Amino acid sequence: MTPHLSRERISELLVGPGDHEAMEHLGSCPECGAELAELSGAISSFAVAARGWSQRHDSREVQLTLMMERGKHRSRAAKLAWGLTMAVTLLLLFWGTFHTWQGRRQTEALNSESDDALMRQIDAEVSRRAPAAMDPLVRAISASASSAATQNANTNPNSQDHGEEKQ
Amino acid sequence: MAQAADTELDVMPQQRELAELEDFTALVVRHRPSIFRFLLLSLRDRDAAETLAQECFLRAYKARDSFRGDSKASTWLMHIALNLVRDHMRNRRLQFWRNTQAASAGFEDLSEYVADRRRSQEAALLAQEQVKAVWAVAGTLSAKQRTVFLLRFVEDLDLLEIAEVTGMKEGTVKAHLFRAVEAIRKRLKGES
Repeated sequence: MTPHLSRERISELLVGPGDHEAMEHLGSCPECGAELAELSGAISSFAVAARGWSQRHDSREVQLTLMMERGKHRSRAAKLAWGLTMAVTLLLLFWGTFHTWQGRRQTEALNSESDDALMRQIDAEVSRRAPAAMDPLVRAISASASSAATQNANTNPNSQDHGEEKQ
Repeated sequence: MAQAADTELDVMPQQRELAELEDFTALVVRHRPSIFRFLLLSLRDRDAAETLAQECFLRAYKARDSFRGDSKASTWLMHIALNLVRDHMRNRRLQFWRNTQAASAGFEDLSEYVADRRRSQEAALLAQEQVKAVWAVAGTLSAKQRTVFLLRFVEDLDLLEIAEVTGMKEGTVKAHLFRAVEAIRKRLKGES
């Protein structure tokens, strides 16, 4: 068993961290531990009492003024937070509306473009004399018509004379 | 355009002042209790403590531009408060009033604040006696020892912070603190 810590060393332990040897002794010696606890307890009690006493002696008017100031600050901070929230909400609303409007506009532009393309296609189709699919038929009809006319002319060469005779 | 720039220049310092003032009010709200407590315990005079607490914040407000944030605001304010205590102690004209106030301030009541329902009556009485003893010893300490003792055990500052507040070296702070604690221990043990 190591000898008890000197009273000065116990005071030292309250001022700063103790060395390893002293701490080890404190852990195993209830007497030294109790002495340190008594001293630190007395100082702690004093600190607690001093704080309470000081709080009681602090001017109520000053405390009240400071509390009001604190309240003012809090209300200002609350107003600022409210204003910021509103601004952000408005910004989000505006952005959302703008985004939707822009989307609609883009869709409309795309639709009108496709409509225009369709109209152009229809115009092109209509402006043709006959649809492309009918081209072979048209050609066949026009060819047969011209050959029939030639045949007629060959088979009835007096048709004009008959008319003259009837007259 | 030039008119707008002039208006802007006029408004900007005002806004800056207001912003600093708002921060400063928060600073006062936060630190006034500890500053007042330190002044009250150092001077043992409520009126002087209140006056010096106001003076402390006034000085801090005037010198706020010079505060560069190298140390904590609490340490900076405590440093100003300590200088005020020193000035107050040096002022011989107030010596008489200080003694009178100290005698009539009713510091015996300090032990009443120890009351704790969890403690037994015997333990509470013992604690009150101890508080009285510590308070009595604190009154007999040198100004430096008392300052260091209050900053360490009431304001919970560490040794480096105390060194910063007092302008002493850490070793010197330790030595003063040791002497203060020794004086208290001796008184509690009835050695002195």
